Amino acid sequence: MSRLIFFAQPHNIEWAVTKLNSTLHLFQQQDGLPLIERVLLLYDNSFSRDMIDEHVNAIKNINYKIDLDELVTPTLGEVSNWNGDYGLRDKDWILLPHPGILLGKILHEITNSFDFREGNIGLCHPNPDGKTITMFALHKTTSGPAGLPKIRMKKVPLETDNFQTLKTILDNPSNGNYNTVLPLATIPLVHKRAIDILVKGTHEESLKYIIDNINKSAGFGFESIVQSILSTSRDLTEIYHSVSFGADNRESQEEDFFVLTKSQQIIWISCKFTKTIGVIRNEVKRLRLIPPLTFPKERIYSILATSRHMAEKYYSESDKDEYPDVHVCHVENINEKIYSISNRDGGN
Amino acid sequence: MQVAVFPSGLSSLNTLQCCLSFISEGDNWTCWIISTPETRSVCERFEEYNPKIKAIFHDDLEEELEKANDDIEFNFLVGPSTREEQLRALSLLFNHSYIPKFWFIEESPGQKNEKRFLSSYTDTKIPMSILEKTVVRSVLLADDLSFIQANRIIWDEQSSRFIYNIQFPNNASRFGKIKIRDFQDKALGIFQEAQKRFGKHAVEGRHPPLGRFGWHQNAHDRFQQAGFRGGR
Repeated sequence: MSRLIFFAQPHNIEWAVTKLNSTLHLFQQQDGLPLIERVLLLYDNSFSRDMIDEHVNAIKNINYKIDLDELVTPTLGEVSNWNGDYGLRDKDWILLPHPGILLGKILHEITNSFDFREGNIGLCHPNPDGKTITMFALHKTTSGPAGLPKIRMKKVPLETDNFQTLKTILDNPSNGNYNTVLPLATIPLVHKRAIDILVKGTHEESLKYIIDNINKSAGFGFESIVQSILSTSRDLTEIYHSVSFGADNRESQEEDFFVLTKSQQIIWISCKFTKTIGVIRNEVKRLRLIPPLTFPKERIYSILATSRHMAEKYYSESDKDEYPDVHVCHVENINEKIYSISNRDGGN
Repeated sequence: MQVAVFPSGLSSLNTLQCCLSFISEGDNWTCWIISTPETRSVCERFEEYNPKIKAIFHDDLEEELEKANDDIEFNFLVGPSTREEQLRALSLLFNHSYIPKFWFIEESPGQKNEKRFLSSYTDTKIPMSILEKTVVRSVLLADDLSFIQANRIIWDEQSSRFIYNIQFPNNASRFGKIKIRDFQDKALGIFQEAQKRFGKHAVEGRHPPLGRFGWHQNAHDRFQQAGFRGGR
């Protein structure tokens, strides 16, 4: 009988539960992986029952028939009673916890445990790419008069379903409000006309059209056009508008859009309807910063959306390589850029 | 012969500090730091700095293990670098029939040097060596040195971190909302650049109480969210 061992995490519970979910799901779906019939949930005294229940619900949602053991330890680093009935045994799988101290403890137990002298143990490591889990299969034998162990370790990367959502990241208590944008089949006619003018017309023509037909504030009007464009992208799974940060809704920072691609990248999008190149340059400089999101920075991209004229002016007058991680797009090529980011070639 | 082996993290000075701490245990200790394309050049500088440190590119570890003497006892430090690099190195050790002794970095909440140790799971402790400013200066690249000087970033021997104290101009109390925002963007840029160069955990950002300049709570929230320490 295979068992999954999971260390509950005191911080970023959403991410911990997501990893637990996707690992259990993978065991159910993937040929060659055993059926998990039991889960051992380890946590220390600092965990509230609510926090534990979040983990328990995640397990039961995947398979309500799974047997669940809970083991409370004095501290997570000091898993002193992780032996006997709960100790490591053949066919255990361990979802590796984040802190190095715990990884070391697990490895120390594998190599030194009296409970586990012979057999196989698997380590599951959800990768930061959000799409793969690497499994490490360990085979231990103990031989000779001194009882010295021998371990062989093999790596097997497996694709998993994406479980992480941008919503869980934005719902962090230190973040503020946001508006959810739903997908659209087509861009509304009034926005289509505005896009045409933003691409072919002058700044003044665009300004007049937006003020007369979309919003008295040209900046907000431009944002709503970009929103329509984004909502027709087939490469985005989630779109959020007017995302604010700061505890207690104090809104220390408000950003135009954060979106999640199908390939699990976050794109931070800022809209600038302006005819001053300095405004564009300053915003590009700002967009090179890492936004306050708990997410691997390697998978965060930035786009500045503006009119075609300004995007072309920016690239003709600026050093393209100065801020390579910030893409300046216009209303006609923004979804193209999102497609290229989602398909990982993300260049200019 | 005792060999401490571990992949180098992006907080390269933390890696150096761990190496020097292991080496300080005795003449029979050496340290193998496993590098990646991102950490290769800095690890080679550490090798030049102290001949008891050996920088090994991750692709070459297997070859080194094949050449290793039978009397080597490996000590594997868990903590620096990515999980992938740690497990990759460990697989090679296991598959060459080495079972290392595992170590971790034990830190008290204050994270002062005198309370930091390299600890094993069998209750052995090695106090963390202090990295003096002269050592830091001698191993940093010229470009990194210019960066810390230009931004008045200092090395704090007690916490083994770089400290970036934001420098406020005399007229900060007259800043409006937009100027505050621009100023914060600039400070965040320097802080994140420092973290990129020296590792996220190797840099601490600080600011004086913002009430002194009459700045709104939002400005304080934004600095806090970006990881700065400082009062309202």
